Amino acid sequence: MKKQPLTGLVRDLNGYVELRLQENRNSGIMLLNGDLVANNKQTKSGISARSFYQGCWGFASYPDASTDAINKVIKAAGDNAKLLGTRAPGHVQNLSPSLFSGEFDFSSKRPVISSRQRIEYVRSVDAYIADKYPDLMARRVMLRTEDMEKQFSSSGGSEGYSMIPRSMLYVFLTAENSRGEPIDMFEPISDRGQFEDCFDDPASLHLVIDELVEHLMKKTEAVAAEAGLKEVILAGELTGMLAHEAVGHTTEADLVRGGSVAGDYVDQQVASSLVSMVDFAHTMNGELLQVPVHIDDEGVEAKDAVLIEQGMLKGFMHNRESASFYETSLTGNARAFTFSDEPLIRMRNTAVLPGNDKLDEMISSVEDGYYLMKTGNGQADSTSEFMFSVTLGYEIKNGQLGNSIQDTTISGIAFDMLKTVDMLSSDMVWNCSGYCGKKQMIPVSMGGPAMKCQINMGGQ
Amino acid sequence: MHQDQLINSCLDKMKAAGFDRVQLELDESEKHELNQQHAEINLLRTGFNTSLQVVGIQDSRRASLSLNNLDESAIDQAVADLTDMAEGSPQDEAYDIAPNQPQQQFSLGSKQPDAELMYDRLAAFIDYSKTNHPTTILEEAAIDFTHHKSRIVNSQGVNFTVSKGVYNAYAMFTSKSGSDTSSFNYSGFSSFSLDKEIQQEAHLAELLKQSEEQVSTRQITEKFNGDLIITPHAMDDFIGFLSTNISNGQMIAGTSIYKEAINTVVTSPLITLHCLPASKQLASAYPLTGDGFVASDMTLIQQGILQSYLLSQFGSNKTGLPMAVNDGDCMVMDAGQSSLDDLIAGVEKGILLGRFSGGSPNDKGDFSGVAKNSYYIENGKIQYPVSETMVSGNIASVLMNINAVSQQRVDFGHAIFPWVRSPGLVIS
Repeated sequence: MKKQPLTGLVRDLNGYVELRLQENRNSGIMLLNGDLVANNKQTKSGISARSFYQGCWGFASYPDASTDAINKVIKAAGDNAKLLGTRAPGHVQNLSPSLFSGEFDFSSKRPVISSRQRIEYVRSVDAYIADKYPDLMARRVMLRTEDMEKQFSSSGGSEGYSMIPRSMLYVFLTAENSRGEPIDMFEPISDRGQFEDCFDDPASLHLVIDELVEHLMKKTEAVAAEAGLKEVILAGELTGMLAHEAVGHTTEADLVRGGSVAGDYVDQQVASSLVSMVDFAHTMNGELLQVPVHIDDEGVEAKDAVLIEQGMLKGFMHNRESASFYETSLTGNARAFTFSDEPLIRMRNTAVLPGNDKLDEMISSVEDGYYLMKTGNGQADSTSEFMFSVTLGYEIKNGQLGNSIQDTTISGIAFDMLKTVDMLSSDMVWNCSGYCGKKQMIPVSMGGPAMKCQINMGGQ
Repeated sequence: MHQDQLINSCLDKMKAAGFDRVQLELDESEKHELNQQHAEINLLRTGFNTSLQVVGIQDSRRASLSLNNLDESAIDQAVADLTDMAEGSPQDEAYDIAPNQPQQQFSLGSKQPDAELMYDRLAAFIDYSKTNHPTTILEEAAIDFTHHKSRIVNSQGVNFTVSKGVYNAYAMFTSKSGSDTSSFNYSGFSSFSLDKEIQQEAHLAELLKQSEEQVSTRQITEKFNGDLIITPHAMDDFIGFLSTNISNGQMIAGTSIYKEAINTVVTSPLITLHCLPASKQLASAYPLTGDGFVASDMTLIQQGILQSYLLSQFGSNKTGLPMAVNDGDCMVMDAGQSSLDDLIAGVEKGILLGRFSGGSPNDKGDFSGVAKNSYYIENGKIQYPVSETMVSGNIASVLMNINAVSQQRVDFGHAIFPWVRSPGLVIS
């Protein structure tokens, strides 16, 4: 993306204006049983302006970054804001002030890998599966890459540039059980970075694939989970999903204002004292996280948002408007998916903090329950009731792993369930393979240790 | 660059780069959107976009890309990228593009929004909600008008133009009474006009009323096997499994449970389901498939019997099975013979499923999830709204066992669905 001289264009205006130049670049390669069924690229770029007048926003976007286009969107955004603001002024008349600048470029410094080489990489992974496991019913290997490049300037003086890439490889496998029914599993492998930084030697994935097949074969003999309230060990991947769905969404300030129960629980005990939860901006314990946001799409410095501290609900995630409404500090959570989208309050790297326990001791402590290892999707609710799917899990009987269980769903009321947490492992797992959906999609990462708790299981 | 000039230039560049088959779609779009948050219309958004999607096949190697920077240098780079991508692609005789068809122009809906009417409708909806449902918080609501003008052209002479302008609206809401909060709920619709108030569409008036009731919920007292009444709002989750399993991915992989199901029973005989993209009955109507064929209406399921798969040109070539006459969606399920009251009266113990929140079903169709915005039914009467209630079963079995379909239906603009009842689900 070619940067533009936004500063000069946004300085000369009256009233508050933001300009954002953005380019999203995506690629996808998918093999289905060895056939290439997807080989595509998308580039979507353009300029947007957002203007604030009498508590109302005007927004305009154009797929062009010429000076003429920039002036057009500034005028249109200003006109839109005035049209609304004069008709019916909004409640929040002033935005929380912000001034921050910086450039954050996470592009790869390695030589570019061509499309042909990427296809070869995916074919190599696929060939390993086909050669070693010829009896599988079906296999899909999918590689996706995504770059989000943004340049920002506001009349308040904030200036920013960021290029945040991520790469994802998904392996979907299907086997047949003894009744000839398809049994499926998938493994997402994802990280911050362009392809060149994330995927090197296909052989480095062989162990992950072998483990996936081992679990899949056990799943062909899976038993149904027993429905009802159960004692479970959630693997780190599920704890991360819990942090995102069960607590994260309920503590986004726009949802709080829209009736989320979290609004009633500030400074109250909502979890066991073992539980602390943070939406990290970019770094945890000195390590750069998978979706590193240093400056958000309102020009606000991104800071960690502490959601739960030793079981107490402490705060929410904000944009400038919500921070003003709640008279609190900014957190820098405003992000937009494409150039034509307005920034919304979005999570970044949401996680439960690790504890001191060991996974094998946690499993040993369960007499009759489940070890839940992998998830597909999840959803939140204003009531803090959460749901997410479980695509891999095992029975625990008398502290030992038993039968694999069939796909199921777990749910609970977050602020009740979290009070049952009595063990947390000392390690952390992060995942950035999916999207968070709200009015727009957005890349997010989620993380956590293994967690022992009580949860509602779907099943027989 | 003028549209024709751009398209011809791109076709020429692709041919010069060695592509023997090329498909282009040039789309110009304009969107005007009013947003409401917390009872204030506080965002007016205007967006313009132009995008070019290019599919190229070279010696049976396929690649595609899309871009919205249409400078000559950007097009040249796109052609170079496609060449690189195609060279890395294995050959597959199944890749193809649509053959020549008579040139046509299609026009649906308006070209310009009625901006004043959009504002008035949204303002009236906020007012309706405040006045009639004072404990309900409109978390989000939006109304937009989006117009697309598309040219679809390929190297075999296909040349279509589509102009389509549609209004879309949705609302998401929660109710609060003291410290009690309902589950959020949402609904939305698409339409060629704004003839009706927003709350008169997509069952919104009834859902807002239900939201107020749903601040006080109870858990069911014990796990049981019972009936499920699937509301029109939850229907997509169940029909979606079937349509996914008769589409390219599962059919090519050979993992679909419907892989040899044409002219066999796949649902209850009470179900007749159509895909109607060409009838203009629905605002989501589309005149062309993604492959560049003129779309036709079809009956997908006739009294329980599967009539067609939903295979694209590539899926048809890979499997040797017939290509579908459309891309699916635009679903209309025939109304049944029973009133909704009769469906409920026929339930000994069960759940009226307002919204389903669960994981994607597995390849067999097994599913489990939370019954949101739902009610417990006992002895033919709705008893109370439920919370923390899970529903588990198998989607293929649910569809096969449907034993009642309502006369009433809800029109969402992208689909028209009735209520249906199915027995034998695990509710816990």
